[in-house]
Amino acid sequence: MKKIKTILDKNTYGQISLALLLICLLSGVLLAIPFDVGKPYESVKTMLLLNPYASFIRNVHFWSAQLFLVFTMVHIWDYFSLKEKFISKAGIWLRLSLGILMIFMAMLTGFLLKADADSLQAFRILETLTNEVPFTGYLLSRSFLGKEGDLQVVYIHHIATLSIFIAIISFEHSRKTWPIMSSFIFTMITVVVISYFFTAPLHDGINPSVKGPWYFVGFQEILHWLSSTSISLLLIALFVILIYIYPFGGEKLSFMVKRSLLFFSIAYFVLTLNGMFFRGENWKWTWPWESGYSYSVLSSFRSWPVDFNDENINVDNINKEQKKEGCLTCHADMQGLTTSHKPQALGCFPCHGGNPYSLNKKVAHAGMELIPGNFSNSDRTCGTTDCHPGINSRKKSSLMSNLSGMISVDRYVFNENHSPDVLSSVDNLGNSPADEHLKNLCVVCHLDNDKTETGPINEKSRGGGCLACHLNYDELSATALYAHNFNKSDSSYLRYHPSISIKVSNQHCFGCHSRSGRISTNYEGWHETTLNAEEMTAGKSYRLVEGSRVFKFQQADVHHKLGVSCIDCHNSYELMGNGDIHAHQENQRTINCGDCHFTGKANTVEADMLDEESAKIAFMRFGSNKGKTFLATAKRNIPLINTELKNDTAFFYTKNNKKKFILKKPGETCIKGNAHDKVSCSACHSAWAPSCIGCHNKYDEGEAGFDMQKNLKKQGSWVEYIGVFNAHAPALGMRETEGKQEIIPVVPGMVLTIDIGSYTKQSRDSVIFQRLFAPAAPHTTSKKGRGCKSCHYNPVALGYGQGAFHIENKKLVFEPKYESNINDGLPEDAWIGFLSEAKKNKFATRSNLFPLSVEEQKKILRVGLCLTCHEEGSTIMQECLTDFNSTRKG
Amino acid sequence: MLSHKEHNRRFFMKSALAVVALAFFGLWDKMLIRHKQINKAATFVFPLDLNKKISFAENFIIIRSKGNIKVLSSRCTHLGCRINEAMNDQLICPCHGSSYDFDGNATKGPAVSPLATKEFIIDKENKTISIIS
Ligand code: FES
Repeated sequence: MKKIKTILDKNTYGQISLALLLICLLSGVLLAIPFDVGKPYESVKTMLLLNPYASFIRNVHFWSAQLFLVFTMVHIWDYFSLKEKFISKAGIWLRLSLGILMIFMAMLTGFLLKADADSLQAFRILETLTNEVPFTGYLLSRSFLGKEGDLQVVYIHHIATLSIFIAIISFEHSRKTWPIMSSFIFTMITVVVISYFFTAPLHDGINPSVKGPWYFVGFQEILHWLSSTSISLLLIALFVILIYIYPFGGEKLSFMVKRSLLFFSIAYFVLTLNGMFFRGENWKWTWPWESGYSYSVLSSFRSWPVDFNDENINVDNINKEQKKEGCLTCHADMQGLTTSHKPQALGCFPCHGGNPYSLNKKVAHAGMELIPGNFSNSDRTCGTTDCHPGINSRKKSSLMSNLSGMISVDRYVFNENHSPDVLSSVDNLGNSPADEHLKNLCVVCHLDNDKTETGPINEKSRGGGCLACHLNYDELSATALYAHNFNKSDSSYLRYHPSISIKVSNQHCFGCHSRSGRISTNYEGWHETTLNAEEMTAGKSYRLVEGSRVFKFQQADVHHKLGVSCIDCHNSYELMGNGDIHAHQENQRTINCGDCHFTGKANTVEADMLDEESAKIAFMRFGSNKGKTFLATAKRNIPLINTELKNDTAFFYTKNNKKKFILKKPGETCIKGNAHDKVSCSACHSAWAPSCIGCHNKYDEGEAGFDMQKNLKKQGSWVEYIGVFNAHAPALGMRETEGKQEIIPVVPGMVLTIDIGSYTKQSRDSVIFQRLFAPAAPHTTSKKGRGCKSCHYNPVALGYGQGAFHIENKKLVFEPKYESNINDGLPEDAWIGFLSEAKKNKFATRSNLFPLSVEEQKKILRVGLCLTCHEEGSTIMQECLTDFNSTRKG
Repeated sequence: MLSHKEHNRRFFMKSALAVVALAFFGLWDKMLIRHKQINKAATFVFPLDLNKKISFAENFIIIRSKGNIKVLSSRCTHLGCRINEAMNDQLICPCHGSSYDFDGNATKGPAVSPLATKEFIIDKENKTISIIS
């Protein structure tokens, strides 16, 4: 016991510091062998990946240096806390005070020498700060740092100038060259143990957070608050001066110095904690409970034990991939990915994370993303600075992500919003009846909903971030995955990777877009029925979706018949957002029929003027863009990269299978006269649209429910009791945009009742009845328009609902098919009454959509009455297109 | 007490040392200035992608907006960190979070001064941009 006490007594902080200095110097000499100042980052990476012994020595060097700094500080503290002042000679004390600065410099130069992302930025900061030293700035910065990108000068100062200076000061100060044996052994053991367990840091090159070394982080925090950085130089100078003057001042001054240094130390400690634990990407304040905290803040603490088991390293056959990252030592033969994502070029780490510097499976796989591309991880996978940051930063602006329109309209229907056009986000759903309704029945489809299992995107898929569109399994990868799911020991899936590409098929869209508006199914010609699977008759006219939904064939969209896919019309800015938040899909959508089927002069953009994203996609899909002229959308001027204008002929190419078409101009009826100026293409050319009426919504506490936002099962759910699903030519409504009127197809968007009281349990909350129509983009385009009578003599088109017109006593009368609804006296499927305006002031799911006015209805019906006698193609009817009134008078 | 002679000797030695030190500094400075002159970076040539709205090329940021090209230094005016990220039409410095608009004006501190604008020459034929540093 006594012996231990004697040893401990001898082990003063100074002794330990001396031992640490010695260990640091010795390990530094060894480290000079594997370290290559010409390729510093690569050589450190190689040590970590392929030379565990060198990695261990690097750790010894690193940890002895860190501990040396700590113990030196403690030693200084120790000195300041002594009652008596030991006064050495002024010259020695000056060198000692400067020595503190030198120790920091030696540590910083060591930090720079690893040349990772942190070091490169630290170099620039030091360079700028040194340059700001009055009079000698440039001289100092060039002499002590050299020029950017070349660490030769830094290396020399690290291994020679600073190390020698520190060694001399240390000797001069302690009059000792060697520490006492016990201190050395004790210190050595400690350093070795720490070095085994904790690998010295190296930035992975991807994480956007950059931080200086721990002793510099407080300073980095100070700098964050200072616009004038020369103040920081004054702070450093003040620190050195305070230490220097301490022994020579009187009682009062010494007290002041001590107090100042104490205050300085505490403040610096707090700032260091701030910088280390709360600063993330771009030095943003990040709370521990914020998403991405561990990635952006804690990543700099990542450390792992040295693995001396080097059986994975075949020293006779080391390829360059192995030097890039550890993953490729085991996964170099991965197949299936397209060129731009090939692991041999990119590695695995940029997408899947984990630890790229370890060959130990457990360490390497820790923190890995099995499914990168989900929006919960896209900031650190697909969206990192070197990959797709531009797209990642705007992903939330896409309606497929924020669901603004869906949420806003639902709240409007539940009388919770004053307007259907309020910008909303799925991230802000609460517990109101509408929000609960959305969580129970609707919001599963947003892209932020993570894909949780591996496997292809199919009709049951919902959400999935980037993967929702860009993931493609080929036969090999699908079979391998299937084999693995069937038999967990089958590891062929580790060789066959699904591809990540711009090959976006209709199948990718189908999962979400076969619901609600049912765009995907309509496009292929399928109309959802209320039949059960058992009631479905065999044959080609029925289709089962998701095992239970029965669809009946109506008529496919003409574009589908030609082989045109969803992405052939819908460009990247519509799908991934353009950075602006839009209230509804028609606001986000840029493409219009007239962009391809234009009259007059086409709106075009030259190849050189393409934006980067369009240029890149165009190149990837169709090769060189050189000299090409592309069509562009009239709205927002988005290039249509699968079109080309050549000698006044516009061509259209399908993106996935490169079919080529000549784009046709609109038909003569469309442009003849001005009778149909206000009529949109889809109002005439939509062959049919699904319409659902008579739906009732009730909250059932006994129902097994689901919170689609959190993906959690719950008790109680809103239940939808569906009414009738019809398929017929859509009704027409008037949309007013910026003073421009346009007749568009509309469908019964929300003709329903909602039992609010069933959720709120408040007897005063009655049943809400809504009769709202919605603008529709039916995606059932037919080459031939719907025919004159289909609009002019069709009660559905005019908004009266299904039924028949008769002429009684020379007057037109309407006989509806459906009974009148007790809530408003209108037929179930009507929008308005015959030759009437809307009954209530709440009639549409958009504030700019209106039923046809009585005057418009009359105009349309007037032509309709003519059509009861005159053929559609007759001369007189054709003349009406140009001038109805004079033809009528004539 | 030092003798007068000793005083003189010390004074002489100190003066001599100061002269030598000054000469050394002078030499050091001259050497650096010549070194700088010899290694003065003239122009940096990069491939020019006219479709790219923004390219980070070593120490420069090439920005194309509304058909015009502008080259900014990527050296943050706060402490010199290299700006390598653009988000929501802002250039962002990773070190202390300063941001700049595409004209180079600081929009969020700690940086206050604008990014330096660089002169450049475009070679349309070879699709290159030469930036004069
Ligand atoms: S160096 Fe750019 S913000 Fe500090």
